[in-house]
Amino acid sequence: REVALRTDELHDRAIVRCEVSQAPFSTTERRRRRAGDKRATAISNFVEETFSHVIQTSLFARSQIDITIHVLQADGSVLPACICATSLALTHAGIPMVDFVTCCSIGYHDGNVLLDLTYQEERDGGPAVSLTLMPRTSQVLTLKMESSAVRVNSSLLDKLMKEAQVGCHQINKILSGKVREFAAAALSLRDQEDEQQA
Amino acid sequence: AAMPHVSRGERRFIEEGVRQNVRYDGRAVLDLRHLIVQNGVIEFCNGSTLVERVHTSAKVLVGVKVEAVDLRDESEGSELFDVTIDCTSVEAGEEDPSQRRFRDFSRRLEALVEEQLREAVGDGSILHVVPNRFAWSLAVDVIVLGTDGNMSDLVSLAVFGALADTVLPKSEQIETEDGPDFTIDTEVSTAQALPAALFDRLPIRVSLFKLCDTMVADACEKEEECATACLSALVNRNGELCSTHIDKGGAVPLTSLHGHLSNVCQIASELFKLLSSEFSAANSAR
Repeated sequence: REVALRTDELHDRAIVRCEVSQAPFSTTERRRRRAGDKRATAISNFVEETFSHVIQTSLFARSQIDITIHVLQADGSVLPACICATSLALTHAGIPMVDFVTCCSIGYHDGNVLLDLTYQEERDGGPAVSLTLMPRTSQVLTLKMESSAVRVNSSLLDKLMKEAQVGCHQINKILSGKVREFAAAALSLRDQEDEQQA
Repeated sequence: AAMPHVSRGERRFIEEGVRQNVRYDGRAVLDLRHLIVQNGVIEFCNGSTLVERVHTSAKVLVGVKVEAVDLRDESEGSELFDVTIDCTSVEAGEEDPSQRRFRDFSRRLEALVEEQLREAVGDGSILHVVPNRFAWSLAVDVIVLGTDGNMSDLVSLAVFGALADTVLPKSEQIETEDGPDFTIDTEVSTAQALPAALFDRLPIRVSLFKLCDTMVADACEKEEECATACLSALVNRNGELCSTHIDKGGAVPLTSLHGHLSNVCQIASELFKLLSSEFSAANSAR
């Protein structure tokens, strides 16, 4: 749509805005969240930055692309879920992107690599890495790591990143499959309508 | 969706149509739009409902969580429910974010839902687990996913639906050294619904909007924009009026008020029939 505030308008590309809201009932313990919640703001900034580089914004000069995310149920890996859902939503909306974007979280506990962390595993204190990947070109868009108890050396980080890439490719397979299913259903519906009109 | 701008021509079209009993979307003046009600959509909640109006963008999700509270820790006059309204997805569509008219909209909705729950909960004794000692507190969280006029009615339906879907753990009162206490059975199979008496008192909201001199039910967004008054009432399933409001700065003639309120009660009874058929189908499926 048109940019809401003229001062934010860019003459040669679109701006990407994201709002994230987490429902109070999304976690096992109900938590009333205020507007401007730090965690929600961090996720929205992350999504904005990621997709500003992936969306072909030059095709939509002087426009604004709004992404709204509602987290209805959360049990860890909220950021990767937001990134994957946004990818699917943008594909559904027909917004052209350079590549599909997938994101995966990975952790390390007692010598084991853990893929797609739950809330409990994230709070465990071990390293929690979120990797955002463009699967076709295997280019890493963002890499976010948090670790309170365990210090991560470069060999461990390499190992975690390799496993995270495998995870991202697995997610890509599932999401691409869904997009193809949806497209096939839409095309067959269009063909049926064309036949009826003919 | 952002607040619609209705041109003079559109306004004339809507008003002339209503005079001839043909509305903007082809309905008669007291016809309602079709609804889809889905229960148990959020696993983390004690009860949840998603209500949407067919062929519109109006969609509301309500989640109910229940918590046991010690009444001695509660301040006097505090209520056994907490309501939050989230309109983030519709605020994002607002053209002028600095105005944020939807913040006032969500505050108004919050007040209306609190009024609805106050009628049901009353003095709170209906939710007591141990009389005057422990009680269930209801946390009702409403997420407005899309609007298309008459959202207060849709939200009240969704709140009713979520409370009807709510299950509580089975509790048993026991005596301890410190006085009366209670235990909870954590088995899902023994969970029970909210007290039936609460649903006898829990009303739903039905609104009529004044267009020219005609009152229309379930107004869409453009009709609501053109309306000069809004008569809304809370009606329970016994057909009793719990409260009424007249909003939007307009007035309703006294002579026709009784007729309009009868229409409101008639519409409410149709909606209760729909809700009870949806919930009995869902319960038999469980």
